[in-house]
Amino acid sequence: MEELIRCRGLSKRYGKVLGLEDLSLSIPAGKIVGILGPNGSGKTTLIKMLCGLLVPEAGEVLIDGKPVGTESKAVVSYLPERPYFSDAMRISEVVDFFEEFYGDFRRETAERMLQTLGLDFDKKISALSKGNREKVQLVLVMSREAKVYLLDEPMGGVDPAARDFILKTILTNYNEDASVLISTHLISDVENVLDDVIFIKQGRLALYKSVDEIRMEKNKSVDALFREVFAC
Amino acid sequence: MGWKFSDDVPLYQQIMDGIKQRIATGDWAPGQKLPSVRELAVEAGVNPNTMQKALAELEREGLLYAKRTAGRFVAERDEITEGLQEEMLQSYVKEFLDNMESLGYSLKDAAALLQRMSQQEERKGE
Amino acid sequence: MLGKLLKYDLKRQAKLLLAAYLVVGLTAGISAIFRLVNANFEDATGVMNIVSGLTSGMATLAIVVMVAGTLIYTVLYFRKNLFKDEGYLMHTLPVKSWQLYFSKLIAGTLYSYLSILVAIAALCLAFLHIPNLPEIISQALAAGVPEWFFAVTLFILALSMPVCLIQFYVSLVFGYTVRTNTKTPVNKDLMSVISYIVLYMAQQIISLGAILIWALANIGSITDSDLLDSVEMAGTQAATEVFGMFKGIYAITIVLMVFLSVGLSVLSVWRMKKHLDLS
Repeated sequence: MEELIRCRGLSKRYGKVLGLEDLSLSIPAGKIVGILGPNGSGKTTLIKMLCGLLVPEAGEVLIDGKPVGTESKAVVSYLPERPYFSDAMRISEVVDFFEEFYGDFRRETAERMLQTLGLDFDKKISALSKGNREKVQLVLVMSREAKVYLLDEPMGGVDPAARDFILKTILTNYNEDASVLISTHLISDVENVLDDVIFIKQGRLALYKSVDEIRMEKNKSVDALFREVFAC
Repeated sequence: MGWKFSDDVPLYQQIMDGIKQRIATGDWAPGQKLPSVRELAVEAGVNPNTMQKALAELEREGLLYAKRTAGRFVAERDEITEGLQEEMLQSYVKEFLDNMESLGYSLKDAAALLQRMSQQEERKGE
Repeated sequence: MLGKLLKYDLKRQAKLLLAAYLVVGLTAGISAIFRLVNANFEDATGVMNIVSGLTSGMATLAIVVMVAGTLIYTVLYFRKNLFKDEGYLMHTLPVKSWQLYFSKLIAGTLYSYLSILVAIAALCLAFLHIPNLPEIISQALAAGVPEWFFAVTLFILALSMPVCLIQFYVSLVFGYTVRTNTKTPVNKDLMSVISYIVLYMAQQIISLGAILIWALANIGSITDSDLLDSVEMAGTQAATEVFGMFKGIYAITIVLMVFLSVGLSVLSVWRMKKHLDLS
């Protein structure tokens, strides 16, 4: 089976500081994968390379067999850690924007989810609470029928109910032709939802196993293993 | 009808146990049609692949069966499902006795304790 | 995709700019009203004169602010949309880097042309005076200004808008794609300003060099031409000689402008594509 995401020898340095070093991995379709590591470990660097925000100094990335570029961006749905919509736009305008630029955007899905959240389409983004803003972004990103979903810290600073909503949305949108990559350091929240986990330590791939394997082999949760591996 | 999971045992095993419990208690009736894998996964808050794995195993054990396009169903009442109740009873009792033992109570002590508790219940009823 | 980006850029900037044009129109209108009143009613105290002068002054000020403001706003929009948080959205769209750059260039240029048109209209309104263009042109032609002069001057002025924008856009791109050697933050706006200065100086040097070369190449025709004599010549012949000389300089100016702008644009699009690093 052709791997959906293929990274070979990815490297990037920020002067003396290491971003990524010779990272290689292959992720098949139909998986929900956790990219775990402490802040500054290289998770965000990896994700930026997958969505085309960063060009590696060495190595290559193939998404669905194609190198990162306009074509791959059309099948990758990226949710950054920070808000990326202009404050001045209304929710309806943001929905229009996604529909305009992404052929795989499902308007009805987005509208349905936004209505469930009780959000007024005429409201400006600036008028929303931080939590609602993040939910809107998530709804739009998950309403695309993409092949790769990259969620960078989707649950940071969000209340438990919102976290449940996020996980439920991810599960509901699950599709065996697509894969979801979740980068996070809040592992216990997501563990049940993950197929596999990737540990990134100091820019290198430290581990790539399925959650079941970890629990069976080590008799502990991924969260516990993580604390061990990354103990200071 | 919530799903509770601990984090050091593989999820698919815990899901299987959860489903067995529901079948044994009659929560999931024999012949009842199951929701789709995805719906079950969302309800339980778990990965659909994990849910699929658990369901496939239960099919193998004969507790569930799949009908081509119609979906998955709980097996009809027969030895397998009835054996399930027996199996669960055994595991509950074993767990109880293991716990008693860790407190220093032998099987006899445990039985005596149960007797006392049963008598207290009866007296309350009077 | 370019069309979609352009539509978006135009729409996003429309709100503020159209509001500015409205304000300018209002001040011009007020000035016009006072001028009318001043012209048609006897006023012994002369207050009307002063007020009319003031409102015309305000209108002029508003017009200048509007034109400059349009330019500044367009440049800031470029910076915000491509290099701040919104950049995370824009650079992950399935569009090419050059399309992102080019649509902002077109939108910025269109709005700057619009601001000039609005400025001219507003000035005419504020001072209740429309210059008689055909008459001015025919007078100039009579004095010996060649016909091509007007077209070429207009062309250069029109070109100077996008060229000016490009200077700022390119400086921003270079400033924001500076390679950080450590993970400590570098002030990218400062880098952009430095880029602007460096680019400006570099282009000045190139321009001077080009003109120098041209001058040397034509040194013969300058010295022994009738140019020196034409200083004593009268009227149209002098003009023709002088303008003939300037044809060359004009040509160089246009070629340089286009060449440098295109070159810098290509360089910065490449830079944005390969070295983007949003915080």
